[in-house]
Amino acid sequence: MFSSRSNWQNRIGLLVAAACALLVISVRFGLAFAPPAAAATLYGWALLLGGFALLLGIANAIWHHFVRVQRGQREWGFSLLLLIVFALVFGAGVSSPGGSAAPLAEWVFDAVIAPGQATLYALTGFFLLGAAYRFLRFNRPGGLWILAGALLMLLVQTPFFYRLVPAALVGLLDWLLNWPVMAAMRGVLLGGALGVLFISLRLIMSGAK
Amino acid sequence: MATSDCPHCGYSNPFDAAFCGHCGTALARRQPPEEPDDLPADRSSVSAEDKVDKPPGPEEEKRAVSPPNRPREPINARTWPQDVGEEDAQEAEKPQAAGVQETEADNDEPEPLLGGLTGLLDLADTQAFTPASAANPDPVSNRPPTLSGDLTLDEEERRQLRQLFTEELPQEAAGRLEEPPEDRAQTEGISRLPRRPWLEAVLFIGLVGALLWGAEPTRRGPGQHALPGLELAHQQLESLAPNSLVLVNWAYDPATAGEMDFVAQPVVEHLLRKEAKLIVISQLPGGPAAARRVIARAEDTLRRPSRAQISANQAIEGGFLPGGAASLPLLGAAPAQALPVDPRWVGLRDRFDIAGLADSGPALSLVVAAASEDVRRWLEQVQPYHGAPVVAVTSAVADPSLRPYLDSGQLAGLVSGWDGGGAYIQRSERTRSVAEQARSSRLRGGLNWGIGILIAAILLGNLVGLTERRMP
Amino acid sequence: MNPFSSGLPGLMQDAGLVLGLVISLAIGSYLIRDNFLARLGQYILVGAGLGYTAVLVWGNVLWPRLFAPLLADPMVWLSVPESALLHRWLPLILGLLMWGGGAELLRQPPSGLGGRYILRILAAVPAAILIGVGLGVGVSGAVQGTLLPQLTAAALPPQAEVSTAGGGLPAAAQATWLVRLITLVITGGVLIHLQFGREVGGSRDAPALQPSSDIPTSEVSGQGRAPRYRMLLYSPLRVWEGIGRRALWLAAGILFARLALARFSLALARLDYFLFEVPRSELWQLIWAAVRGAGS
Repeated sequence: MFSSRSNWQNRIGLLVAAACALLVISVRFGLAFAPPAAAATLYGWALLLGGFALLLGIANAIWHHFVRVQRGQREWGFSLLLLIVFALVFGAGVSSPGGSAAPLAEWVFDAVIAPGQATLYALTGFFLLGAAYRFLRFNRPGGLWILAGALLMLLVQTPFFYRLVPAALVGLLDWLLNWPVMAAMRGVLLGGALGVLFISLRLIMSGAK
Repeated sequence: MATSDCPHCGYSNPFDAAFCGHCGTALARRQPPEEPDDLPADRSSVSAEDKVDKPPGPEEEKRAVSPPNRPREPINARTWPQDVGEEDAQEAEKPQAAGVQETEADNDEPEPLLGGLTGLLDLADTQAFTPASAANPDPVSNRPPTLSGDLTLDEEERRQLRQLFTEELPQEAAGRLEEPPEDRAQTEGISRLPRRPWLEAVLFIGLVGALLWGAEPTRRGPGQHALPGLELAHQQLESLAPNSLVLVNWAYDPATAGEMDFVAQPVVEHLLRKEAKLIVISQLPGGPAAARRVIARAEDTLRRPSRAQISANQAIEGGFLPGGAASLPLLGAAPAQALPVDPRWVGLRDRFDIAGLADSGPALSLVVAAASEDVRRWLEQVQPYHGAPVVAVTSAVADPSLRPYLDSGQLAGLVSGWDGGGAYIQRSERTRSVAEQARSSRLRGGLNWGIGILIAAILLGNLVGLTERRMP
Repeated sequence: MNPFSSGLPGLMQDAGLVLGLVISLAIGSYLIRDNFLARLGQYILVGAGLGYTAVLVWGNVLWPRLFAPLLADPMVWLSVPESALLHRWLPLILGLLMWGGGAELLRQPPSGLGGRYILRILAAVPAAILIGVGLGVGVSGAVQGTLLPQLTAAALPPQAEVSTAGGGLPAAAQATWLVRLITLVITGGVLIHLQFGREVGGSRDAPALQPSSDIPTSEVSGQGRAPRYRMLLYSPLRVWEGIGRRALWLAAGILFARLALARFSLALARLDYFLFEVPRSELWQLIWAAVRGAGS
């Protein structure tokens, strides 16, 4: 995020970030560099700054659509609608004493947000089918293993097929989940954690330098 | 916005994308092409409309195909279907004199540390393996994190597998809203979604038909299979003493409520039956409201006298904690400072004896999450502080990723998916209302048909694959 | 009737039902193809979501945690200076800097040193704090919550496997030992695959021992003992990596099946809403009765 700024800005930003990161790490690992309260204070700041950042992000999105309307760009009508809906919801929420728990905000949640989000994500199930048809094939690399795992799990987790499959197969699935799959996912977790660790330390060190 | 066209499908991706958003092909990491020096000064300020409307001239096309200053690619970057040997040869042909500059460039770019299927699994479980706050500094933007992946797998294999796990619609729909018009115009006309309308139609008809006419009686058969971890979760909740403080992280919103409500409600009912005191926080904007609804339904099911009374005495609702992973440790380090504030912010902190929370921690932590990342984050950021047992109630897809934590004892129980919810109700021996039974029967029937159609589609796909292979 | 919006008039409840149905159908029409209605629904959803989030952040976070206490007692820093400064005033200043910097970034970059330039520099501070704390908790969390516990669980034998006084192991413990060994092998194989998959031959396109640019020419040409040494080293590694790779494939299959269950549950819940929940509502019953009455 500092790439578009000047060197001075980058240095200040990296220095502050590295200082915060080192303070948090030292407190979490019990090193005596800083009192635990200092880390708690930073977490509290992160909470509040997260709120500020969210509002800034929302303002940015609103500005983006405002500019689209102002310039009459493509789909500016949709952007105008978005702005109107935003203004109505925001106005209703702020003017209600209960905020997001006020009846009007709850009504918006039940009437627009919940059904809209739920429908949007419900569509993914349909697209999954096309992907499975196209790519879940035994003659592709690793296809047999993937197919075996998928079919076994599909059979056991579906009520109708679960009645039909022998108990030994169910036991095999439980064993697979408990051991080989668990071990594979542990490898992924460890790899991911190591990656996070090295990348973060590298960033912190570059800031500290 | 600078974009990078996918070499496989032509989709325009953001320049920092590691993989194609459409087909999953790994994209080579490149620097954005520099503006040629010989262009007029005002060329860079050409309006977006101009860029869209004007077709590129022959000279520009030539430049696009073979830019004069070909940006250097990292040694490990591979672009399918580019031949490996060819790339190595290109590396070998580089003049030795450029070595110094290249070393400097290498120092600027972080070494790729993750590779292989880490990237593949990431899409099935978004943000599972990258630190949320570091990868996504803008909390509003909900783009999947770019992966710093060393490409160690067969590219074709990786592309196919990523495609399999890609959830296309939300990225597509969300992406279009934020996409600047000039970028969208570039990508329009390209068939981006490899959809199979006839398959989708079959599934749609199958699901609707099953819901209307294919309801499966609940009492028939052994019910759902309880995956390992469910019994542990039940035991953990059963062992709670009355008035135990339970810290609940509500990490799902209406987007996944269709599945998650089924899993969460039986567990919340169990907690209320055990007279536990729930302190509910959420890091999702839709989380507090989703939690309120499930808790209210659980209370209704338990036939409590008055919702308001129960809520006032047994649950703190509505806590929203922004800041992602950076603010989460506050719940362990200084819970009184982090605890949610009532929407009406009146006297909430005096309702429970939360001083005990700071001293000894909660009796139990419950993470109700649609993604395994939220559970992992809790185990990494909060549990090390107070060491309270953690029970995870998750979406079906998060289950395999959380098995290592169950094995290591960091998770004291795991209930996942719609089948987990059903099995938990059976385990709790709770009698369902007529309406609940009817709905459950419908959904069981729907699931039978849906999975049946999926299996049929997979078999058909394999058959078609065999036929295609044999054809000359 | 929804208990959370029960304070509103009945008309609003009915309107909410209709609005929810319309938006659901509009967004759901994407299933047929990307169309005007689907876009309309998405824009409305985004607008409402942004408004709701803004209200939530203001009403649930910034106002009660920061602004209300400050307004209630603006001179609190005189009585409890350190606490008020750290928990109220500094976050407020940082947050305002963030907002100021954000607004400043929407304008053209400043031409020279000045107030705007300083504002840009200062605005980097709150962002850097957020990133720094995120990095710090990411590193410490990865070590404390994943690396150490998972390495310990992978490496250490289970507690039940304490050898008996006679030196032998009971059958169950032996089986557990075997299982533990299998998991260790798989975990190691996956790690090898993720990090060195290409080098040890994990990819079909890149067979093991293929000459690469970082190997000296003498080694590639087979002179000396290096290739034999590499072969001795790589053969077991390739087998180990193959085990890990296959376990990952199996896990990917199981993960896909769970993904299908999750997504089908969402689709079914939504279809159930259209087919059963909406028709049960009072408004729908009324409309239905009116339609039937008009028909007869």
